[in-house]
Amino acid sequence: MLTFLQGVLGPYYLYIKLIHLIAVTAWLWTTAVGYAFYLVPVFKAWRRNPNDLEIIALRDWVMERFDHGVIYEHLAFPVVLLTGPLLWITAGWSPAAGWFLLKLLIVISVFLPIEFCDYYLSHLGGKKQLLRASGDPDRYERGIQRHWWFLLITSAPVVFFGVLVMYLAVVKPF
Amino acid sequence: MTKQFSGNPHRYRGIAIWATIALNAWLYAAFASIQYFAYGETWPLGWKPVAIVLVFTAWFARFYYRSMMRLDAQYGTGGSWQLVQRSVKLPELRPAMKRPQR
Repeated sequence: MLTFLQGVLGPYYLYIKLIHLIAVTAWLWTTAVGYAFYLVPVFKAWRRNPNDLEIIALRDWVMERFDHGVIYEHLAFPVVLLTGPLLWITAGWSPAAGWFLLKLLIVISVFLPIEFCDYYLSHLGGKKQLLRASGDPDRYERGIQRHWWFLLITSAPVVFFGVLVMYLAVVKPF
Repeated sequence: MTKQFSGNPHRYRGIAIWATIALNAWLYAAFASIQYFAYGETWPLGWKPVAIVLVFTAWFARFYYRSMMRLDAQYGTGGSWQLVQRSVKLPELRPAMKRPQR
């Protein structure tokens, strides 16, 4: 089966790599500007003025916009997950290569759990537009604060390990 | 009065330290185990990789804690920003229309 796939996909290795890199870039960077320059300043203003209703209204709006805008990242991520193994098959890399093994472990241990939570928070039960439509303001507020907890906890690991994964893939240091 | 956010520096410190230790311990143990048992590689068990992991763990825990503190506006007063009152209209997606029941 592997030999068959290598035979069929081998000639397209560079094209699969191109799609993989485009998807990785989209996954890593499409939320960066919205997050850093819109969401974070508003949330910081809210944390400094937690009872200001006008800031809360803007906070809620920017969070729902962010829920919507993260769709680019969440469309790119399955493409990354699909093209990654295809590259593995066509290029013949194995976990004997240290850089590849560490990259795999980081994707499985760090990014998969984070993205599962992120899909839920932005598109499924945690989607703020849905919570607002439920008509329960306490539930909505809990949803907003849960998402802020998620961003607080995941931002540093995503930034650091995202860049590390690109470093491992390009430089292949060990 | 809205529900108070439950984050605070004490919790961020605990998360930064324990999450960093747990993650790095797992990554190192999984990496070294696979390299050793599947491929017979012993270099991950040397003193240099272990030292690198320990130094990285200490550095990342601090970086992680300070990142959470900075994000959550626990440092400084926000003096470089000002709050300006505006009257705005915010575009929001219309709720999905429910299909009429037959």
